[in-house]
Amino acid sequence: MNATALRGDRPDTDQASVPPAVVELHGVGKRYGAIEALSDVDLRVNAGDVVAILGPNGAGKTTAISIMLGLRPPSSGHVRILGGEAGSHAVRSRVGAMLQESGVPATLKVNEVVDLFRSYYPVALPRDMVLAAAGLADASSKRVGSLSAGQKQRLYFGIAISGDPDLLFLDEPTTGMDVESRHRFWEQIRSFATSGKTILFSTHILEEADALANRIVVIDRGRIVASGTPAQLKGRSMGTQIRLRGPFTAEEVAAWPGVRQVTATGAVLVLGVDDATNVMRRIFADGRTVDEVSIEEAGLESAFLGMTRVTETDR
Amino acid sequence: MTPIAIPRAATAGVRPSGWLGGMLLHQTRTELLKLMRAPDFVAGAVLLPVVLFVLFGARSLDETLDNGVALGPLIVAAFTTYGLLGIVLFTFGESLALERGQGWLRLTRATPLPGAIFLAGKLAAGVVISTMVIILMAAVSTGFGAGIDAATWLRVSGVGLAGALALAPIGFLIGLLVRPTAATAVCLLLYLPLSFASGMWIPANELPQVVQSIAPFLPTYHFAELAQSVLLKSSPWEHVAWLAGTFAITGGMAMIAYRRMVGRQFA
Repeated sequence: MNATALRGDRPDTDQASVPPAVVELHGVGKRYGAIEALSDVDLRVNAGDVVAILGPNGAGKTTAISIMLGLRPPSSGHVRILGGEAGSHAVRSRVGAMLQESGVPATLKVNEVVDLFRSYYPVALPRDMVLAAAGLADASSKRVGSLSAGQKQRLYFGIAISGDPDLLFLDEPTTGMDVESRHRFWEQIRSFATSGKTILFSTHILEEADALANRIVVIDRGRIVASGTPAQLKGRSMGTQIRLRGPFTAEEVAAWPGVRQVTATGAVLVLGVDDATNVMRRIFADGRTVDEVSIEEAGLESAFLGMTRVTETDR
Repeated sequence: MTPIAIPRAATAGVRPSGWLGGMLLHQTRTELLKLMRAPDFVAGAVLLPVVLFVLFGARSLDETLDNGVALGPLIVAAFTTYGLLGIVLFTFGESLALERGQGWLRLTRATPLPGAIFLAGKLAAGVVISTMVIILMAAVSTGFGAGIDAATWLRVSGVGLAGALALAPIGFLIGLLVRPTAATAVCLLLYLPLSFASGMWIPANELPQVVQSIAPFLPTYHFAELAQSVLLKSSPWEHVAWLAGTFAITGGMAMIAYRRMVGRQFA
């Protein structure tokens, strides 16, 4: 996987009518002492985009979002949010945020918390609309302390949209949710996105990025290693793979046209190919006995693994 | 949900500022609701001073000092300052530290709420709860026949509130610097020895000799003495100077601690 070839590969910036940039990061880095949490991050998010920052734990996702919110200053580089300074009052008035490990006093009621956050914003959504969007209309007079983990996450989502933000940041929004509430939550985010809002969320769940985002930025060890639409990233992966067991050597197979990459695992050769049909034809035209052959479409999963070099168990 | 068009995206400052007064009202109301619904806060910071007054102070109300000054009002004033010190430590110190730990503070910093309004809301809530403690103390001590007239109570209250505000930055410093899990213990470990050594439970001149020699260097001692000076009609200025100095120094330290935590301009 050639990560550098993917960097800066953003077809949307090449179009004639470029939508206004909502988020612009240029060469942003962040050091905590000797640890380099982010290095040389370039990112442009256009109005109306739904962007996923995808990466394993500790990749720098939360640091990136903190910098975009103005909660932490970057060590280097430039940040522009909605054309202004990250964290400035004017920008904060148009931004909503759902952070990890944020807690609301347990003795407050849901509607009190929503009203409190609505009071912070010059333009606030009606309380009922916030509660409906968060799926908490029935729980509005419950105390925060009595909410389930999923309901709390939805309350934080409600808080985040209460100021009718043009730009919404969600840091690992579905952490701690079961599969069912996660899917319901995705629906809520989708319905918010249809109102033309720009959304930037972080996740380590591939399915989540694939389901919600129209653009995925893959981040690993503080660096952007790939960026594109879900379809582009899938295409940039190993592509189609052919597993082959037979009297072939990796060297001769690698020389065949259409074979991009060969890895030998014991007696099995795994071929990364552009066009499976031609390579299959070549295999059978060879005449030698093939012990085993199978074709596998690479998904986003293998693309992600290839880019971030993490194993299943790490995530 | 109806779609909402983005107003001229990528241009900053298109929205007016929110109404600060409304924010402050909401913030104060939320602080009060949050605190008054917490049983441990109500018991420890609001009711305990009155209970201790009933147990330890009420029985000496009829006595007079050698110089003929009635002891009753002095005892009531001392226990009132004890109650106010608790509010300084627990509403500003403990609750702020806990909110830091919860991530509540971080979350509000991502909103347009100015940090000053957040802190002002806590102060305002502290003043409201302090007033409740004063009214409660006035009612209970009058019931025990402390013999303080309304005008004197007003003066003691005013001086007490001003003194508590001067100590408020100490509470904020604890809230900003102490580890959230340790905040309750730190507040208690300050509250009990300080109130004892400052003569809030028993008169300062009846304290052990060692404590008496330390007391004049405690801001809380001058807080207690200031409230009693109203009744003794003695000069308050030494105590005022001590409290003003404490306010200036700890206020500056709290400001620095806040800026360090926020990592950016105070705004």
